[in-house]
Amino acid sequence: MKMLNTYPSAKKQKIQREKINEIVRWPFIIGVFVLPIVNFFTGAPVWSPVAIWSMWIVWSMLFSPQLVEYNRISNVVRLVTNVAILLVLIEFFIAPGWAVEVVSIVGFSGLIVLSILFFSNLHKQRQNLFPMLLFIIVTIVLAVTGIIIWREQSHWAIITLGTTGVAFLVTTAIVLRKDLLNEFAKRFHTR
Amino acid sequence: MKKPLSKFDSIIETLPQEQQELVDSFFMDLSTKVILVPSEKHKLFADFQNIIIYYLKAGLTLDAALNRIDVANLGGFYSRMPSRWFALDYSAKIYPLSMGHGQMSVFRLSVYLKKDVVPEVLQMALTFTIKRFPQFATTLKKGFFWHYLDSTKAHYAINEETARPFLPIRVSLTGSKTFKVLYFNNRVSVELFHALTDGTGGMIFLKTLMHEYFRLLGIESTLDATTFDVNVAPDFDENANEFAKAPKTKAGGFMSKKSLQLSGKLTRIKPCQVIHFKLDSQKLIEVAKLNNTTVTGYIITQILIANKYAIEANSGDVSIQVPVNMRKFWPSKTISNFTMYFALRLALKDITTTKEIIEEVNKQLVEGSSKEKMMAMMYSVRQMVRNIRFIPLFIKTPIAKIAYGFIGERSYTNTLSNLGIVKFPAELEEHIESLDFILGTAVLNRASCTLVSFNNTTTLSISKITLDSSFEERLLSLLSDDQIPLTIEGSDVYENVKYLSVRKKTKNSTRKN
Repeated sequence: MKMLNTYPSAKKQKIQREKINEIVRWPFIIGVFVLPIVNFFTGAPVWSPVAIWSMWIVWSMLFSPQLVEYNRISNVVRLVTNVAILLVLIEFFIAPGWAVEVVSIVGFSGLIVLSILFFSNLHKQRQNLFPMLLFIIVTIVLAVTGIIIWREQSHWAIITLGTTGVAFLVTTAIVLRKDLLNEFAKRFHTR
Repeated sequence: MKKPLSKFDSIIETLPQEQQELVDSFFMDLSTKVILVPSEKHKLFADFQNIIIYYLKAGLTLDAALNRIDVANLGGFYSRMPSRWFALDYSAKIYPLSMGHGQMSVFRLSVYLKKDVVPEVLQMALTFTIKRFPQFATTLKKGFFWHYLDSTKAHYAINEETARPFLPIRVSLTGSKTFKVLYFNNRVSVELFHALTDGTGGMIFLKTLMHEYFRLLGIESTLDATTFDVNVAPDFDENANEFAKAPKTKAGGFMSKKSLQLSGKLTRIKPCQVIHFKLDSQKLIEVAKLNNTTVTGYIITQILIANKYAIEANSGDVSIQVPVNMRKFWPSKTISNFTMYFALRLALKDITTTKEIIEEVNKQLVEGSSKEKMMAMMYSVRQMVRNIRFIPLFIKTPIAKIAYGFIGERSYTNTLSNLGIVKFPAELEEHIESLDFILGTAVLNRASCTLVSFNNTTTLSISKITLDSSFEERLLSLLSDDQIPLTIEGSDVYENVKYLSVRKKTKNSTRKN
């Protein structure tokens, strides 16, 4: 069919993300099925959940990033949450007895990183407030729960996590005031 | 060391002192009206500098130039912090839920001018127009239950088209835009994420943008009902979610039978080609009348016949999805989505000749797009959204993706979306050649069709996701058989790059020899 070309000419296309995902997807899918089977035959310790979760972190952070809200705050929240879950899995399945401290340290380190990212560019980052708020609230709830459960022992890391979370929340509330409530109205709307 | 003068400064330095002061005072005034971050503010200032340079080069006096780009045209848009947000209308909620990497519902509207586009002027036109469309000046965000649009005060830039249409609109970053304004030679295009608006809303945006563009070029025109005055505050009804007001009726179903798809192999690049048949409107109407149908009925019939030619199957149904503008049943000022759909369906074996199937097409067109059916569907949408509104988004998203896969494109072969006749004010029509409208990335439907008419040109556009050309070739022969004068425009085949590179290599080696 003869036609007048009114568009920019075809150029060599860059390799598209979908193409890469298409190729990389298979080792991940195979891994999810094969690793538990291998683990079953190799016996204890149960390392396959840790391996699968690690693969999930790589897949979700590198190959299939978020389609909406892919920003520095939500990425840090997702990374810290994923790493915390990974540490809990290692503690539970492979090497018990250390995760409470380490997860708390990862948690408050995450909070400090988030506070730097948020307050260093408040004008722009206020649009990304919600994942951070959720993270702060979850850390406070977990810290309070931890303090109640292990009240007989002194876990400095949990206390630091809780106080860092509360301090960050209060500072955010003071800085944002009414905007904080508006943010909740937007994020929890059912219209 | 003294910093070298910018192009703008060196031009302004050549002006008399009082004019230089005038420019300084203009930019002082502009500065007070813009509270963007420095990088964005710098871009906005550069736009004003560029258009002043353009005007001066075009022979306009400085006074007249500054008058045309009066900073009052910015309103308070850039002097206020972003605070508004917009819930997606009920039919828009599916678009962010169902999108994937490299796949989102986008459509494109273009206007072809009689002269090449002046980028400096188009940029300023967008800067002045965007404030009138606050729901377009937004970023898509994730709520706990639904997505929503969050106000974003930023520099909204136009871009020259350098690649294929429908390059992905990246909506994920902080302050990402949900639409694009592009230009290429004499064409201005807007590509819009469907979550923002439908074809009608998009056309209002394009018309308003072009009205402002021509005003900045010194061509004044009267406003019509579908062109907004950029210096009037937006009406709240323009963001109305009309679906929420749907009266209770018998609910209409969404589920539909699976349809046949055109047989060509799917391409990796979507769309791999865009084709426009520019038809003589008068002759098209005559032919449609001769066949006792409307233009939509006639084109659907031809698409059905062309589909049969492009499908390799022994049995099954061919179905064409036809969007219906609900504003004709329910008068509304909304520029949010307010469109419903129905599917026109024929068994493959029943598709024969125009004369034999036209009656069935007419019947289904009337029945399928009836007010009763559309209102029932509108009510169903309302009910469905309300029923799932308290389910968290992270649960809704995977379910919506699966459901959309089943009741989405599998249930129809292709789409025909007819925007109808578009009119511009008489003062502008003489500067406009034609319009077109293209649907974006389909997943399965190999050929998505659209119609839009302007003056005596009806543009039938096809966006394709297969290299198999049998559909459009058959359609062309059908239209030619009916003696409808037409010209064909379109794009390269973007998928066939390997062939193109082979051809280039062959050319080079031939030259060497």
